[in-house]
Amino acid sequence: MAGKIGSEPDREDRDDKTPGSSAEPSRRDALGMALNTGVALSLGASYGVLGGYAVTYLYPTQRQQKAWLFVSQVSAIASGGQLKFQAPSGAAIAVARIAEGSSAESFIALSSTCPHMGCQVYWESAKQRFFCPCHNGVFNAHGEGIEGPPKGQNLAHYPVKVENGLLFIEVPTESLPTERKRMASAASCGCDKRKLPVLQNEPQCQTEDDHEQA
Amino acid sequence: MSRLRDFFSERVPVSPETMRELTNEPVPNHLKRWWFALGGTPAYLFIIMIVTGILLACYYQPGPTTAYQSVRYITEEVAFGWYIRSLHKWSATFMVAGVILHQLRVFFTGAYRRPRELNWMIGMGLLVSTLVGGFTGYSLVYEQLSFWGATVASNIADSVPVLGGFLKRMLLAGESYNQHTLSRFFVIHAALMPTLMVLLLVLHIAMVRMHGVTEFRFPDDTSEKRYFNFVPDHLFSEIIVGLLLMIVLSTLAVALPAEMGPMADPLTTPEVIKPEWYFYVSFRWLKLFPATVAVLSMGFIVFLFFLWPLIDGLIRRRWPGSEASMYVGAVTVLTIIALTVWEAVVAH
Repeated sequence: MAGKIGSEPDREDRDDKTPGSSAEPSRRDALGMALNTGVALSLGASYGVLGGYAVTYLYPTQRQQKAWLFVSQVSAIASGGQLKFQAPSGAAIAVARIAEGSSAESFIALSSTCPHMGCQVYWESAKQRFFCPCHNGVFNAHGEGIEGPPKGQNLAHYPVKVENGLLFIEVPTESLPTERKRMASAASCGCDKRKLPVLQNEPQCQTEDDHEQA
Repeated sequence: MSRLRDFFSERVPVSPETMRELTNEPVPNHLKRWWFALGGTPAYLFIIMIVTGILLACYYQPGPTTAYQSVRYITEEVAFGWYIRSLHKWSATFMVAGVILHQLRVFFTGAYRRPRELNWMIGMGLLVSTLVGGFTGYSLVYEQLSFWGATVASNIADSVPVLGGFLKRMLLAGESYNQHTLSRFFVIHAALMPTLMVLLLVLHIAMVRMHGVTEFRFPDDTSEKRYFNFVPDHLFSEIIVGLLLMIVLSTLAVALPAEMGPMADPLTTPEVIKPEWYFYVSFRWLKLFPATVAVLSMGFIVFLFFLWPLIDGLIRRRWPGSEASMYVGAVTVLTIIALTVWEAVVAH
């Protein structure tokens, strides 16, 4: 029989416990089947628990780190005036005084993140509008969506508060590395020019060769 | 020699006749036309991607502080790194194109119809896995396109009602792109998708073997016999296709090697940004409709095509001989081409 598929023993030679194979199942068969089903269900439940643990493991629990940072004295911003605040992450935030009062409600701090798909908007001064290059979202100077998919949505506001005549803003304190930060840190500590990207209009690293040529 | 043969025949108990039967499936004559052999091409490209992907993973380091520099290292410093990376990239592009063309061929020839409905669904699974693999692949470089592509994708997930926030956090490993995000994309790209695709491919090929290839008879086919042998006839055809692909991929790798875009800058979205060409259609779609409408409608259209064999079956049961699928297919293809070209020719 060797060398051929289909050389298994005949079906008559098997101790057949397939459900329904015997004409009259005994109580012993029924108990055995219940036990086996219970074991199979337990195995399924244990996999279910493992799956639940896996989802919990993968689901991020750490919240974004945020902090209240000082922006300016309230009196330093005239009504209708604004200033640019740079968060530790590097994000530029437009902080504007929209009313006379000196409460937090008199100020807004506009996020530059488009509420549509999360891209960064930029200010087009000629058209007096914020424009999102990803999906053509347009916002007016107050951050209200006026054209494109985010029409009707507004640029988010960072929370602001006033304490003792001082204006504070709550912003994320973590940031991802950027090319500019890398360039800046490399320039301050000496760098390997070969391994760093060269950006247009950016100060470039001086290597020993450069010094020698100079 | 005969002792060696005996050694193996005892340990691999398959008779020569059975082996011939298993490997030498009769292949219908229409498969001599190359456009009917598009299914084998993505499979061949998939193997190239697995091999080059393993080689790339030897140097790639996921993480926002390391990813870009490691890809630069592969591209500029490792011996033949540029070639391996370029082969990987071009294979991906060809694979997406090959899977789409194969799917179109199957659709317009009605080869998905009873009893092959399930195999169409497996094929749709392979198409979606290929697109996810392509997207997660270019996300790993941590260039501007990678970062903003991932940001847009996470917001697409966020636009799904009820589950959106959960999906976004699971994808990004946090509320926004952070130092753990790239590891997650790397796992999806290098472990999850390849495993899923191997499983789907095995199922796909097993189903093709069980049902046989859909047979077409062309008027100019005057041969007396309806079939030819898989070994060696079709096997040699596949070897020729493999060699041609290797020549084309190598030529493209030399002429148009994979390059490095600017490194990701989470504070500045480029003034003109576009995904890879196969996502132009969804990118344009997102510009045309509000986020939730666009995402749900895209998902619904993909779901409809997933179930198309069953829908088509219902239509043909109601109106026997109906060729509704031709009209649906033509409208869909023309819409996809129009939106893709539109996105390609304009800056915004």
